[in-house]
Amino acid sequence: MYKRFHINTYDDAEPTYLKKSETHPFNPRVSKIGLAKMLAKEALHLNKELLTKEGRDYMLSRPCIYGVFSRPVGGFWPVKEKCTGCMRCVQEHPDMITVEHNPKFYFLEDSYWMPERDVRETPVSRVHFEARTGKILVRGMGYTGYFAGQGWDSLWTDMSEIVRPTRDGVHGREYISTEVNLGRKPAHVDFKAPVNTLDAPLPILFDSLPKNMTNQDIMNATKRAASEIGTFFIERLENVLLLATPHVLVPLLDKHNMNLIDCLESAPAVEYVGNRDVYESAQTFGTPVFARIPFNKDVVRHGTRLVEDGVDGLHVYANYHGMSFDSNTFFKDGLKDLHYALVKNGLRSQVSIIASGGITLAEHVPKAILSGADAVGLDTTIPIALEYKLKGNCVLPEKSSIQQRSLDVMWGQKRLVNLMASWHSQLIEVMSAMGVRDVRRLSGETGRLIENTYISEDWLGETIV
Amino acid sequence: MNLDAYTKKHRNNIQSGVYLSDDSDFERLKKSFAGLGNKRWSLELIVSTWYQASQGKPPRDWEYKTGLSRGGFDAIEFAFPYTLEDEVVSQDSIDLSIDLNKRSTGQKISIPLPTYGAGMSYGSVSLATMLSRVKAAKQLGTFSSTGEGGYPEELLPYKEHVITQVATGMFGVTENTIKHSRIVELKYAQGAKPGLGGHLLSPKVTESVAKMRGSVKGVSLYSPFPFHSVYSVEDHKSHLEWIKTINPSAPVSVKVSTPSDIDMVAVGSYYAGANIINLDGAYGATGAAPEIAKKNIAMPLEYAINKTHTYLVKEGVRDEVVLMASGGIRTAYDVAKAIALGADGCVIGSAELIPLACTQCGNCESGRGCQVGIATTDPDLSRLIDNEWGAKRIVNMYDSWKIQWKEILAQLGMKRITELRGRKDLLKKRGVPA
Amino acid sequence: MTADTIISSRKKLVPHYTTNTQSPAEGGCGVLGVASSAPIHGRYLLEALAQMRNRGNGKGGGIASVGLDNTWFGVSENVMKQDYLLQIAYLDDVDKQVEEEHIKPLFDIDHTFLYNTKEHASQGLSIRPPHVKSYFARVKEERVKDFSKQLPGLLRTAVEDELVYQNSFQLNNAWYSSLGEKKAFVLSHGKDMMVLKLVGYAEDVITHYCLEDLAAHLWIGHHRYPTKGTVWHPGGAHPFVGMQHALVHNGDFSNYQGVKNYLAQQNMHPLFLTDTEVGALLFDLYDRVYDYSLEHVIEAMAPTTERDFEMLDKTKKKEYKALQKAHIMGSPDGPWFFITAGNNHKKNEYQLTGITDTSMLRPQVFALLDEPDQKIGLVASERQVINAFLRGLYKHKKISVKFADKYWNARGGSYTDGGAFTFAVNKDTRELECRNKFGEKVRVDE
Repeated sequence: MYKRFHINTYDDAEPTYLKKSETHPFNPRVSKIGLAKMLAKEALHLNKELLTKEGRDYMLSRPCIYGVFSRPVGGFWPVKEKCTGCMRCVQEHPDMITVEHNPKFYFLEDSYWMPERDVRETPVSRVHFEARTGKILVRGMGYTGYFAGQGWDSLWTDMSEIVRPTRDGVHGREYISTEVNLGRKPAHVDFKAPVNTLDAPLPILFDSLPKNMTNQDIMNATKRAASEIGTFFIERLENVLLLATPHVLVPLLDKHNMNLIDCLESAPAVEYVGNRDVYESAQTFGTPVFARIPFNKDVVRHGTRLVEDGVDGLHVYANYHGMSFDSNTFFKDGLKDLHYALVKNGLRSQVSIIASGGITLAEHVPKAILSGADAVGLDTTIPIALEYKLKGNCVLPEKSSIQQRSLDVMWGQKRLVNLMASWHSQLIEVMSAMGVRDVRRLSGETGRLIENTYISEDWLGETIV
Repeated sequence: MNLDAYTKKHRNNIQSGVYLSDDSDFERLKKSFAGLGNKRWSLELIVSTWYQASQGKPPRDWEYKTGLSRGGFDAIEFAFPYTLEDEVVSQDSIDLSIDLNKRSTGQKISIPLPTYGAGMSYGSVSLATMLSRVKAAKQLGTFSSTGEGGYPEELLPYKEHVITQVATGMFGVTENTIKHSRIVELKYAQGAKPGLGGHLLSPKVTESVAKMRGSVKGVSLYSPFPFHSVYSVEDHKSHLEWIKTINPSAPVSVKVSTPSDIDMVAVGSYYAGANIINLDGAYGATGAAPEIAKKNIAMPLEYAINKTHTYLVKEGVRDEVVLMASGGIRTAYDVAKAIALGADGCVIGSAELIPLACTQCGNCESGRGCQVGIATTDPDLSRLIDNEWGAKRIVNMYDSWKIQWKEILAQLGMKRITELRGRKDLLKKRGVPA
Repeated sequence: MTADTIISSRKKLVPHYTTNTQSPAEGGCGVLGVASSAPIHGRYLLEALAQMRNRGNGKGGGIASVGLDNTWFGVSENVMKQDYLLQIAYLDDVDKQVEEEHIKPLFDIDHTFLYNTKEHASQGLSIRPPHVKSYFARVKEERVKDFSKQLPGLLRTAVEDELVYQNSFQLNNAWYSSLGEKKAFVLSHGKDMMVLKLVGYAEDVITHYCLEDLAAHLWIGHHRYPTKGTVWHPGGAHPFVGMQHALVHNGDFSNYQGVKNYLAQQNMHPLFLTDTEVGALLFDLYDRVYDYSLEHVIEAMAPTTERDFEMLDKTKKKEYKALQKAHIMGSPDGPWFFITAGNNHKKNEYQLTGITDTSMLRPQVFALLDEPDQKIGLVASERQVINAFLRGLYKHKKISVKFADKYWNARGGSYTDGGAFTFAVNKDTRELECRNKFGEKVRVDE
């Protein structure tokens, strides 16, 4: 019986580890004296009518329809968490009420995750929403942020107008496939030889985190989420041996742990970092082998050589802010260069590129794929979705850490499943707007990527960002 | 005492809260409203618009021209060759009118100012909001669009000033609504959610909304995308011919989003018979849309206007078609910049709601909807807007905009706003000397 | 692998690949294909193509015919069968130069043919149609021997095909795409087939080149609806050719760059900036270079998905999965509807095929007429076009009925018909057969 790929979401993945004061963007403040004065004035005005229920109700009717003043004492003790920043109370009583941004809402110091203060939403709060609900955030009004920005914010994805069709509303009749086949494929098919690839139902994998960015609970939750969804979790071999469910785990080998490979019976694919010896160990199971290489000035030469030598795919990682490790280049340019270098030597469609590092929000996924990746790896988003806090500015993976605490693994699983469901839906939104029905056709499709650097040059002859 | 008294109390409070004058304490407002605004509609812009809606002229000291988005309209300004003191042109004689149909067929229509009101559907906004807007349109001599939710009969007395919209959900579209409109607007796409159709979530599908749309109360309505009869340029041609067969005299406006090949779309639309091409930019607003779509999909309007105008000029058809720009146009200066980039005029949405006390909070689609009665059809909330007051507020804002346009044109030495079209050379990067 | 050697032999054609993200002109808009067991004269297409004008704007039209009447061209049956029919459009007086540089070095010419033409202004055409020269030619023996060394294991005809293909690419590159002024280009180069196009409607081709009396087994006609640009070039009109197939297309690709990148990896570079040409190149790649069966060619371009995939048998699932993994990156995302007309040497058939993509958002109708002495297969954008064609034949008493016996639509990417149907005319028996993607026969009585 055919079932279209769908991730079931959980509606019980409520905030658990954040302080209440950190969850709301607005702080309504009422001057108690002003309120008392106002009530007294109204009471005098109404006079006898106060004896009627209607009179009292009239005097006590609140300006807030969201329940901020819903306590019996009303404005004397506002329910701050309910404030949506609609400002109606300030409009009605500008001398008595103030609504400000809540400084506790901006609780991270990392400039990639908390690029600004005093906004109603941050990347962190967005991820929390997605992990809590599994839904796409839908709101009224338009986009309220900066015109463009750096990094992924300097890109827009294209859409299809009337000339090409897209999808039938939110619940479409059309099929949009998000499946990816990672690994080596032949240029043309030999029907006798099998094609062995790592097949995931969506182009998002969980990537391994350095020691200080994770713990046993996080890894467990991640593994369980990967298993439930059908995607994969790349994790260091020594940790893989501690987690069960080998069919979702892609062990990461290096020169220190490569000998442990014999402890594993099988692996759906293997990733490695290092030289030929490690590569050979990685080939133990005859499953796809991906070379993990950093995004730096050498990435094109390094990656092309590895592909020519026979590696089944590359996993390119930038730093946690999406930048090259040794130059001021953003990931999208590195991916484009690598993609086109492989097109030039005729090998691009025969191998896969996984990209991670600085891919933290749902909107980055299609942009990274359009720039040249086949799939992306989640890293810092995992602890954020689990309500962990990053310590300081986390740029270099090995130097990054989270504020450690325990984790309810079942809850963690639900949060990550919800997150993936939301990201999957959002990927489909973007693809359907573009009129592309298969994510495998999206890789490197730069014709559908609108880059601010290029169009603003046509506009006023210079980049205006 | 009755229920109306509550409404009256809050209504009066809100109306006085957004009535601003030269006596208003701006510093105090900034403190109380500290959480107000965002990068596009900054606190200053919102408060200035309230001022303009109250006084009919721009404020003296507050920011009323640009926002904080660091790009697009906010990154450019005019390089004025003259000052107001030079008095190169007499402001009283400046002509702000534009034609809405430049083809040889169909009714000739012109409006005395370069804007008309954008479509906001019944269901996404209240009837009081629609009436405020259409009454203002009548006073100003321009138009307001019904949006895709059908044509409420309360708008019929103003039908000379109503544009009916035919959108993908085809809600409320009948032969009559097309026949009796002076302009018909075909909504192919919408900037705020390119590639997606309209969204009206279930709590806002009230009894009356459902009736208007021919649907069922409490069931979310997602309009399809695109028109399922239009998948190519030749289909588009047939689609426009369908409208023109029913109403041969009404000019047809084609509202499209801004893909990277917007220039080809525009010229294809021209050949298919469109009179007006309305580019709806990515940063426009909507009743409800996925946040990811608003920010990331399609080209910002400022680039699209320029690209389309330049291309239509190259193709030699620019003067036969009217290019209107919409999607995030907030101030008189945005309108002027859009015209300088190549538009004939602008279609205004959110900027007409700010006068009605909108604070850009984005709660439009939730539950009963908007707490000041704009983006809702909840009967209680809708009564927070008195449409006479609303119409006056909107007219005041446009009066203030007219003053500003005249000032801009005077400083450019121009007598007509049509002279400004395509004069990108008069724009420069903001903050940099010319 | 022979495919790899063919691909690498092309590397020298474009030594420096640059990433050019210029967007293509849109695909156009009205298509018609006719296959008949008894040859049909060009005049019978006029009414049908005129009927289809609502789908074009007169800025580009073209036709292709396959299975030609050799006497009309003034050559023997053998020459028509064996020789390459190299048909070149000259937009300028450069034929001597082109012949010196690109034709004489590779070919021995058996016969040069010139079409009679009408005065174009009298037809209402604003742009002068190309002056066309047709060369019936054989590849020089030494060149075949030479090239065979680079392509070991390939049959002689395959070597010749590749030589002709590469030669035409070089001609097009030199005389059309890299020049500011476009001077000449190859219309077609297959055997027993030809393509003509101009800036006008498809039927203008037939009247301009006086094809009314030319009889052929297969015809395709196409009206374009381009809107971009004020200078129209015939080179942008359809059909486009790979090698032995001409292809016309209605629709658009949403992943044009992606498909271009994919072709670039096979050392193939489109020159005419339309997505249709890319479709023709893909078809040729899968059909000739990779030597896939038609079923697999169709699968590579329009993959079977969802429940349709589940309904396939185990072997097909494995085959199709492998094809999808290898080729999905290069498969055009629709909507699109292709009609190809070609000369299939291996199967000894003339083949007219209509393929629809999986979204099925471009209109397509197939029809079959079974008369006692003639079987006709048709495929078009609209049924009215098919009926106009049959009406014309009926009026001239070529058939006894006004309508086809059977009309149907293809279901793209399906497990039932595969979204494609082929009308095949056997070159020896001259019998026409209709088959779906899976090779199953379609009969009128079902």
